[in-house]
Amino acid sequence: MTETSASQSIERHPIRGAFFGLLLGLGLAIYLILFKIISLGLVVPIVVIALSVLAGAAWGGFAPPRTKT
Amino acid sequence: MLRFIRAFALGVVIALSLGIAVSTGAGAQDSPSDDIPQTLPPGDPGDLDLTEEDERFGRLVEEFGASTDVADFGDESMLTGPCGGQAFSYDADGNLIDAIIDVGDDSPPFDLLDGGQAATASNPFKVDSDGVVNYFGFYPRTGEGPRNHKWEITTGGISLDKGGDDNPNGNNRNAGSVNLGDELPIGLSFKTKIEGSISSDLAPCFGQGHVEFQGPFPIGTAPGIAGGVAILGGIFGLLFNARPAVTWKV
Repeated sequence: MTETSASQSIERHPIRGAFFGLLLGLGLAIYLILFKIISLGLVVPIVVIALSVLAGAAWGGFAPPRTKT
Repeated sequence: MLRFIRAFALGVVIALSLGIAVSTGAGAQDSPSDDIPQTLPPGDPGDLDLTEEDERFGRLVEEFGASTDVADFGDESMLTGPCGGQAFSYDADGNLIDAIIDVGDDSPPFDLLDGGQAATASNPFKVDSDGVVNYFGFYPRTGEGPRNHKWEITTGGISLDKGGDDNPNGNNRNAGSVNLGDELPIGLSFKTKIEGSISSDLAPCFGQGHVEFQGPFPIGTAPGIAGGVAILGGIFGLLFNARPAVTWKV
């Protein structure tokens, strides 16, 4: 009989996080423009999207991990 | 999107300025005369006549021109150079929703309905995305117009439209109407800042101002639906696909 031991590891997904952050940022930028919270232009929407990408990457890398079997 | 902004630019930039291309600019006061709105054409704007619009502009300047100088104004909207004009914005039902004038001096544009500086971030020039903007503009007010002029309309450094003309007759004014309902494929709500400039053998004109498009409730529009899908996709992806996971290997 063989004794087996399970080792725990954490899979992190900063690239996926950045991608979905980009998606979220695009949607947020569109809504912020359509609801006239920000002006249609380049700088502010790009900042919104860039911050979302960074937040998404951070989420993918450092968010509390969920359990996966 | 470019087409929207382009039409908006035509409706506002052209609206606020010269006879052949672009601009903005003029006066302001704290409490406009109550008589001023009555000078504006109410209801359906109808057809425009250059002479009539020129005379209307003259009357408006006479009525409040002396009080349009503002001691201290911001740089959110301006029109510099020997150009000016007026623009009246109507909604889809033909109701006047905004009116702006630039008398051609160094003061910023003036809001004929609300008083004070027009086309600022807090008081943008309002247009209905299904409405009409009538404009009259001059460059300059008296004398020959610009020959071999070139103009450009931009937002955020991006060129929306540009052109030019040799203007052999030396025309110095123009009046027209932009039907945004025809120009825009769909109605949208948004705000933006537009810059316009024109150069020629005369002194150049430069104008800038904020414009607010009034359209249907955003969520039901195509961009609103696309934005909603993107937001939901992003949230679900972050929660269920991109989140770190604990795994065990045997």
